[in-house]
Amino acid sequence: MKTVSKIIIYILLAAGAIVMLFPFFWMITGSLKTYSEITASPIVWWPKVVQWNNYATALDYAPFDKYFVNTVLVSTISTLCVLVTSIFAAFAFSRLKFKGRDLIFSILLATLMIPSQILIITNYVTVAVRMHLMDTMLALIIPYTASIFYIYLLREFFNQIPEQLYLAAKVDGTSDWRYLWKIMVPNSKNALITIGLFSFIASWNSYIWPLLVTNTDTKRVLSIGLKYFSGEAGTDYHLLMAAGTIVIMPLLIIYLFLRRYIMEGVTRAGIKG
Amino acid sequence: MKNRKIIALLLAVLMIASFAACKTDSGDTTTPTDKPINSIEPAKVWPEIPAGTVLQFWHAMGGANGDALQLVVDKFNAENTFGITVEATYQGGYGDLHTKIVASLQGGDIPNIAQAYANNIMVYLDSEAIVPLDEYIFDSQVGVEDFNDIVQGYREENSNYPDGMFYSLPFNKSTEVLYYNETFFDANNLTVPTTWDELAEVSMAASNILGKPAFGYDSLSNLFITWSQQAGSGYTNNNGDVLFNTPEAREALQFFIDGIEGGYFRTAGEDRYMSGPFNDENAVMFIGSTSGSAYIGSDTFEWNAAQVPFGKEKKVIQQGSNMFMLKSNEAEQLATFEFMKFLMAPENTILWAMNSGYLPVRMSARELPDYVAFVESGVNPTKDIGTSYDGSWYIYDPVFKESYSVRQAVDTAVEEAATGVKTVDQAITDAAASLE
Repeated sequence: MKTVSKIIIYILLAAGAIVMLFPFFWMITGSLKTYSEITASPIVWWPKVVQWNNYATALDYAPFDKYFVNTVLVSTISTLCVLVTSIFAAFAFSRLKFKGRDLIFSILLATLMIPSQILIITNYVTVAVRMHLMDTMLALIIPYTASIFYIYLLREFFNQIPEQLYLAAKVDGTSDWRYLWKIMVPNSKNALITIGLFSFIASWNSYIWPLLVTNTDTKRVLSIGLKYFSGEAGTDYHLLMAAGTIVIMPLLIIYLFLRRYIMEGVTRAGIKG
Repeated sequence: MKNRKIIALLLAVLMIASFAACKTDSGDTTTPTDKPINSIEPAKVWPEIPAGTVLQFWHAMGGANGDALQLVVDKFNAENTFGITVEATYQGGYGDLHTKIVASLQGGDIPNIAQAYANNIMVYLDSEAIVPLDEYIFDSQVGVEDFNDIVQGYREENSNYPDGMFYSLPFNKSTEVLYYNETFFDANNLTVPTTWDELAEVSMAASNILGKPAFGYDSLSNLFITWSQQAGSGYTNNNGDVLFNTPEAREALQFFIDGIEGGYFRTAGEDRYMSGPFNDENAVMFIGSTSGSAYIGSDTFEWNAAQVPFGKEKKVIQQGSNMFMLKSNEAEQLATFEFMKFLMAPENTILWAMNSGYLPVRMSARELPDYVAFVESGVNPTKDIGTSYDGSWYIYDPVFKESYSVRQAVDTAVEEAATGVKTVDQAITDAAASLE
């Protein structure tokens, strides 16, 4: 009986894994096909001749090297900023007692209900027009330096750390600052890694905002480069897949290295990735 | 009732008579948009364009079309005697470019010139940041040389705004052609259809050989717009009034549905573009945009293109977008206009056409030796066909802000009729009702 249920579980897990991996399989094999192979019906599963030069052709479409450096820079800086702002805000909302704390937190949460598309023009006016940051790297980073969702996520984590620990530390004369960095942060390592990764991916993938606030190639990011492969009458899918493979490779590598922390962070916070 | 008809008829005659009286000169392709050169008096004093003027050009041309655009821009930067430099910037697809322009009109940095569809330009007109071009185009000093040489349908579309002014000029223009599998046609002794009847006949014969529907239409909204007007129906006017709720439009759609039900016509459906099934020899002819020719081709057969088959009337859709000018100072605006003129000049519009998926905007450009040689080389058969249409055959979506919603409504109507969800009559009635 036990082995039967085990077999069923493994079959289900394997099916799930195949579903999750299929897009990657399709992208990577697609990047090695010709245009007619990737659009063929019935489906051609494997290229007749492996087209490595798709990668060279795709990289020629746009200055991907420059875009790559910019994307890494923007994603890294904004992720670090998000971590710092989230840690401070989450600590304030979970441990510090001040007037109107819960009200402010509710207001912040309420803003999560506003779809980001509605805010994009307002944000543009603030950042590009009022702050005069049009076509600067700063314009790419600033809107991603704080996130209410991550503050909320981290606050939930901080709340799980027993209050007694905080009071005991207070009795010992520990400052809030010291307590935050010595107790709270190390205990929330998994959550912080999860938030960092989510934020990094969001910044890495963002498209409309970078497009709005930049004009010159030297300030642009990878996601914009991917758009070059689509025209009004069709898309060069084989080249798009090649460029797509290159663009997500760094994310995959990061994910593989940090897998353990992410799994723990996601399961403990009860948030699905 | 009868009296009203007579009065309407009399009024119509009167209007035509008064138009005829206004008509100025030569009889060639005169349209209401034609205005005599020198109509703006006295001669305007134009500012000097300062050397070193830099212009921003926002466009939506990625990939090979983007390279072609850069080629023309580089030529302008190297050749213009004013010392103007144009910086062309890719701003994503048309939708992204539109978002970006809308945002920048809120007080951000706006470009000098950008690319857009006419219905989007209607949205920008509210901002009053768009420059009407008539005083440039028809000026005796800086005006466009031989303006009537620009394809009639393009001139009409670009002055189809509420006040009849030119707020844009044609830039990347394409049209539809009939793509066919020449190898298959030769092997089976089929002739390329030129009329609806022939289209049905050849499709039937080819479908019998193929064992599946032989003919498809890429864009269902284009199918409706083109075929209903080929049958003699209207589409819309500039106020967005529905003019397609007619027996002729029903006849056109019925013609397509008969083909679907008879198993010899198809839609692109899940394939999105007919180029896929065409390349895989799952269909042997389709009507699609000339700008899609780069996606067609196979090692196993030769393809060719022909004029689209016509119904009662010779009508074919013009597609692609236009360029418009945004307000800056007078000197920059003049510099921008110099660039627009350059893009439309015969030798440059063919340079653009030969390197991109688009067509020359001037009739005379089609005769230039370089272009003739290019067409004859047979590199791309659509270039030959695309320029073989008479300028007066072109139809376009009348310009108003919500014109795209009409397109979506008729697209849905064709889809519903093709999948059997609704009858032809019901689909058209519902589409018309949804736009009331």
